[in-house]
Amino acid sequence: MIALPLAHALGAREDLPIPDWLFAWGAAVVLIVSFVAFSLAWHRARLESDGWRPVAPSLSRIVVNPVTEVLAGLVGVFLLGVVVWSGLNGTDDPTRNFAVTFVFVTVWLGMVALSLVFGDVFRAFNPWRAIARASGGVFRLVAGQPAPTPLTLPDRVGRWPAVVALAGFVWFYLVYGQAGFGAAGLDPHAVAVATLVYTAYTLAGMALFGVDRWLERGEMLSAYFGMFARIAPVEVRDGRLGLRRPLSGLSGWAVMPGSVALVLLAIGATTFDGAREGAIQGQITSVFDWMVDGGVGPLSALRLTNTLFLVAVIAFVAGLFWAGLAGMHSVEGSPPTKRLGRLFAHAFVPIALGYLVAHYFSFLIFQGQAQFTYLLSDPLGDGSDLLGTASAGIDYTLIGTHGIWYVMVGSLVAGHVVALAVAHDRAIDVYGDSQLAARSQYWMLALMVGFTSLGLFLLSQGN
Amino acid sequence: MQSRPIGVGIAIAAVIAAAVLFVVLREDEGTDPEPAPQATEQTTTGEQTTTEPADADQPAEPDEPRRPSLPTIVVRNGEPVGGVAELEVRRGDPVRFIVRSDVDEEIHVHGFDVYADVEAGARTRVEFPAEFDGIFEVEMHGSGTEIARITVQP
Repeated sequence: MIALPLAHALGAREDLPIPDWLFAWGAAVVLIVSFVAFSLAWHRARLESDGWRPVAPSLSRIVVNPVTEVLAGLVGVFLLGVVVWSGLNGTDDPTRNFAVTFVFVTVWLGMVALSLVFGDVFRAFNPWRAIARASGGVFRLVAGQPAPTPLTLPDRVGRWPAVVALAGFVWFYLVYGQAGFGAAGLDPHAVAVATLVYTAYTLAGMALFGVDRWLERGEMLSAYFGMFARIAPVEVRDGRLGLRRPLSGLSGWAVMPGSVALVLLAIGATTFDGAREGAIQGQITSVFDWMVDGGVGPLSALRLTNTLFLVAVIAFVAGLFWAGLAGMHSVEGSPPTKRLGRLFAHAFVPIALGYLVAHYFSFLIFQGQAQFTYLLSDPLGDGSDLLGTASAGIDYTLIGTHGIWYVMVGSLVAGHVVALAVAHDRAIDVYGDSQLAARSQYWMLALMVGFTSLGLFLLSQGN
Repeated sequence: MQSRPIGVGIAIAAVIAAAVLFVVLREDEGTDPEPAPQATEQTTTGEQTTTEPADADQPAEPDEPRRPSLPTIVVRNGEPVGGVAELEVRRGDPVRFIVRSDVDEEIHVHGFDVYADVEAGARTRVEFPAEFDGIFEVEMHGSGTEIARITVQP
């Protein structure tokens, strides 16, 4: 029998599953916190208005000004160039090539962390936005008028183009990126080519539909990081830096079609990555063996199986979500289920964040060191030493397994608490300050306890 | 609007409740797993913290009567016989195993970045201290085939 490869393409270390005692404590804390939250529930919506207030103009000008804007854009474009250059010209080894760790660790995970604290920083560094704005400026100089947008992206399309692109990214990362049977996994060359393809696609989208409209609805990284940036207490509005209530930015996030899909995709993808090496490993192996026995080549069987389970896990997550909302719909005076989805999807952003931290925290901590030591000095993996850090390695003693376990469980519990608070706030707004809001929230509580328990269960099964 | 502190207060109360329980939990950790550690089958000399050099790749002598049951990973036709070997130690203990392959290979222990040259037919002993915890692969560097997984318990 052919063994199913489980190894990650990146990252030399995997986390140990959380032990039973920690699982039990985590689950107990989730239940207790939920009931505490209920008994203390407030009666007037607190997060529906964000109370955004600009900081002192001088402070704002230091952070947001034409110079920093151009500089950030240049940094973004430069790094995009380095990804393509190192991916095409560097070593085949995913762990030794700048491109892979930069895209999947530094940006994909690191930018989420930055967004949570500083707001939508990706917007400033977004290389495609910078390119589009620069070319727009040139166009205006030459033609004397702003660049036209030949096509209109209909409102009802919402964020779906970004969701579709993000699904492609997730597939590339989790399915195509799995090494085995001759496939190199996250092959740096493929990463560079995919980056170029996505660059062309994004520039075309912005040229056809307008820069800001495409950034908001079609550009997957803007949509993804923008979702988490809604949690941050910082927002730049009309060129001015300001502070708002933490979490209040979430309230208007899910209005746009496709938002529900975006947050469910984020949760589903993390769930799949956590489950495939633990909770559903046996099932994946069975389907893989069945396919190989049926004459499918091992590599095709590997990718096909992973694709099937990725879709199935996302469908499961979506099913859980909609079942909970259908239950909520049964409360009298409730809006239709579909509208409930849009009304409450933003409350699942903290859950998605909790999942993300639980599954990728140690990966970011350890593989992130590679980025800032040897990959910075030796981006191609060819033995160069630009900054003198090429021989530095990853310090795996930085945080031990116990510390990682606490972060994992803590992030799930914290995400759960915040999600409950956000959902409760919305329920007051939707149902009015009454028992109906409370009844609707029993469904929401059940749904969120379900998600958080699932997250704990995945951690206890290895990931 | 005017009594926003209540909402914030509730959120903070919930977080504090979580934090308090978390501290309880942390204390629990100190007492619970220590008296009842999981069985560490591989190393019966559990308490002995090794002071041996980190990189050990001496080709082994014919046999080692001193330590009778070192786990041996046999690689035939490029695959580990009996599937990927599972090794388990506690942090601080030495990781010890023997590799026997039917071809010349270099093996690589991920994370610890221990490399060892394996000669066809010979028994190669690998030993290094498990200085940090986690799950780490052992692979054959040439083919990339995984031959063992080392679980280092905290």
